[in-house]
Amino acid sequence: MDNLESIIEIVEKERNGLVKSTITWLSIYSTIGAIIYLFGMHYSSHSYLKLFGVAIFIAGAISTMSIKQGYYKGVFKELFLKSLFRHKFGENFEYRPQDYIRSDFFLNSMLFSHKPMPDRYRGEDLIIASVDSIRINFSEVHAQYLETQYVQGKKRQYWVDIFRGVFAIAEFPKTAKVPVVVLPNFEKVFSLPWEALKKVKLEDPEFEEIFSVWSKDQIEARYILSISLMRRMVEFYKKAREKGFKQDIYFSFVGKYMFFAINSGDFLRVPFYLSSFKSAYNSGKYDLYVQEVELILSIIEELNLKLDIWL
Amino acid sequence: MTAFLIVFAVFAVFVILSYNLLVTKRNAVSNAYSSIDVYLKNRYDLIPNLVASVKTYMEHEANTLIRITELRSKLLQGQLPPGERLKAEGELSGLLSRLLMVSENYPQLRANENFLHLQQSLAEMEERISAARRAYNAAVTDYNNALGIFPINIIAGIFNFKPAEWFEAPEEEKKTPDVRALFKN
Repeated sequence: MDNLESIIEIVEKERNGLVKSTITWLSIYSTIGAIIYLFGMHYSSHSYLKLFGVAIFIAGAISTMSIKQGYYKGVFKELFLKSLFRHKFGENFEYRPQDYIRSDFFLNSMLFSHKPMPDRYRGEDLIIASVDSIRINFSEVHAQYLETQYVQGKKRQYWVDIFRGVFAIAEFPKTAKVPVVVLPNFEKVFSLPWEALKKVKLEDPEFEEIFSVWSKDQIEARYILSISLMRRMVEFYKKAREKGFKQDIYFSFVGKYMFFAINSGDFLRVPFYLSSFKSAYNSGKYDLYVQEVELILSIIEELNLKLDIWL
Repeated sequence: MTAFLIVFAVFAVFVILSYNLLVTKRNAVSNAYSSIDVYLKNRYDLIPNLVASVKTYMEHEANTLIRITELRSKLLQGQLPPGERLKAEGELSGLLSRLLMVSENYPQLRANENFLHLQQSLAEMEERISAARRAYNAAVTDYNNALGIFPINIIAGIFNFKPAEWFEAPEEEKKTPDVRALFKN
């Protein structure tokens, strides 16, 4: 704990330094902006010079804060979050803020193959952990595709989210010979690659209310989704809801792996550097980071993945 | 006349679509049943190796081993009526479960890698059989539901489509100890 306390001191020191340097830069930009504005007011008949003065100040302020926030994000994650997680989860836990689950895993999971292929794939906050000797890797992932529209002959392009949230891979004690995909029940499935996958109707009405299951093989889907595993998935879903995670949960089983994704938006969101770090820490606000990670790790226990064959 | 032809055409289309729907669903039931057979046969294939692996260690279980071999031969011949077959399958499952359970009392056997591998394969096969039975029951439910829907039930009556029977675990299987518990230790 002493170590964590000393890290908090360092992060706070860095933050104070950033706040001071922000004030300095804002003063410089406001002075330059004010001079140009006043010059424009007294010596020029054109209002554009005044606007230019205001623009200098706004652009300077935004770029300063954005650069400082980027730097603070690095410090916060590399120093504070790494130490916090080491302190809470021990040695069987590795946190790499810059890394993320590779896109080939994302594609192989088939979780989002009912949507267009991603044109842009990014991520951060890779966590490599082991629970009851079951390996689990997860990170934030942001996959998007580029939508093109023609409005009145004009080409218009914009990015559309395929998925943004936590994407995880865990070892699974059974081997799925064909992929079995479990989507939130409301998810609309229209696109072509899914024609080969058929909906699997299962026996658990509560499970069916929450999820829809897709596979090429009705028996394989039932082999993977045993009655007890379906029950545990429902319990995990309910537990996540109780803990305030209202997002959608996706699962898929491919080969020896279980993939799952929680549509949570930002994972491990870094606070704005101008807000106080220490008081937020002391008020327990940063327990949320631990809770976010714990929820993902708890899936191993909740779904009883440690059992050798039986689920 | 035109109206009559239209009504007749609509009726004919309805009959054809309903008939095809029922045939598709009945075929799905047959396919699901065949899948159970495939997995059961895979299980029969494991039995000779299992018996060979355990017989030197488990002399006190000689009667169980003989009975397992007899049941396997009987089931492989495939001449048992459905009711008796179900009973024999149930008895075989029960005996295999019992065999795996008592193997706990034989430390030398537990150290035998071949046996452990067979045990795991058998466990996986049981899971697959269970999945195949669930898939069969789902296909039966789907088919039987279609048979009950008005007005498809009229077409089903005309073409003599009969409801399929659900698979129910035989009493022997219900009584047998849970092999799964063995793997949880």
